[in-house]
Amino acid sequence: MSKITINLLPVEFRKAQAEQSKFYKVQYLSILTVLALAFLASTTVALRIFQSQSVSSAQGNLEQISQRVVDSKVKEASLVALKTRLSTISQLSSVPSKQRATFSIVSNLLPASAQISSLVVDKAGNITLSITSADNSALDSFLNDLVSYERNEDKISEVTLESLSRGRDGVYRANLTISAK
Amino acid sequence: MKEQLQTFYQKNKIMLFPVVVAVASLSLIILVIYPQIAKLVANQQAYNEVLERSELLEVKASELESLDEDQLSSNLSLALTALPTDQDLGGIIGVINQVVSNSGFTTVSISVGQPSNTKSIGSQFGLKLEAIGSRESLDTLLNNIESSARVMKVSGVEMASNRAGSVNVVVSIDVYYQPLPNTIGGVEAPLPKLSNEEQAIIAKLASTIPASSVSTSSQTPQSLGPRGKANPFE
Repeated sequence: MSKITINLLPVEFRKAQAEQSKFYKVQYLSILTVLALAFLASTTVALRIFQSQSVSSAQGNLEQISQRVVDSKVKEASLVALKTRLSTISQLSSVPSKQRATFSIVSNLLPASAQISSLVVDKAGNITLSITSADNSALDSFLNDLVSYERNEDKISEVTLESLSRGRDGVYRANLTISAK
Repeated sequence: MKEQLQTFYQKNKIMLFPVVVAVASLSLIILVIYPQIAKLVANQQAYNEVLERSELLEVKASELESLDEDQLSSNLSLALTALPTDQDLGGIIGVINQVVSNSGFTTVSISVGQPSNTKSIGSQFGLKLEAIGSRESLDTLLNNIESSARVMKVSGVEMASNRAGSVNVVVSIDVYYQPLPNTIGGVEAPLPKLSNEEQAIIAKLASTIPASSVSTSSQTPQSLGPRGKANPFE
């Protein structure tokens, strides 16, 4: 059996009641919004306070660690000095000077029968050489070796035979200019 | 007036209440929530930076604390013997004489030139060595000069044979030195690490340089600075 409800209240009263009900809803939602915002505001403030404490604590920790580093300043200075010095030594000692390298090649290629009368290695590593030898084939071999890339280790760019003479004693005298690469 | 206001409120309360709440909410957002959140974000970044710096410094502090001070001092002494902070003329003449005699030559004279620091790597000064010996040993002499206890480079050679069968040589040598660095960088500057090549150089220096040649003073950068008063008349 279905229920039959009849609202016997006057229309004005019903209208006022509906408006009141609507107002309560608005009021409820507004209060909820204000409460939510107040909660959010208090949470952010609380978080900020908590965060400030964490930052202060982290900064205190950082200062302690910085102090430990400062305490080891002498060790650090020694290490920096050692590092810069070793780096310079490494750069300077990694390769022999051009002068020594060129001289070494010429010295190694020079035949036993040849004698050096004079030798000058200049700042660019170029060599001016005066040699004497009784054996012309050894001299020829020496000149060939000087211009050979395999024999001169690709460190000689040019060999100029300035003069070649043979004395009455049968000894050859040669003046050479050897340009380093 | 009061009645009028009450009537006005009663009539428009459904509109007025949300407006007042909206104004209050906006004020709360603008005056409290937004600034707090902005500070929260900024503080978080600052916090992360502090943590990052702490981690880096912690690593640096641990590395520094784990360094063997005696070993470091000994290595620095070796490096300072090979590449001193100044010309160290007394030391270089001793080294040259030793190199010359080890190479089978006899020293005739040693002359020292003016220092210059035109090269990007370290400062240098020229030195002329005049010696007598055999031609066969000249290569050894030049090799010994460049691999001696002091960092040196041969910059020129003049050789002439004499009647006695030996040779007179004049070797021009560039001798290097390097003043100490003025600064070691800030606290947060990364700690330099020695490469394998540099470790090998230390080992080579230790084997080349006799213990008696190594400076025994406490070789810290502070102790190696200029000695004495800045103004001796004060």
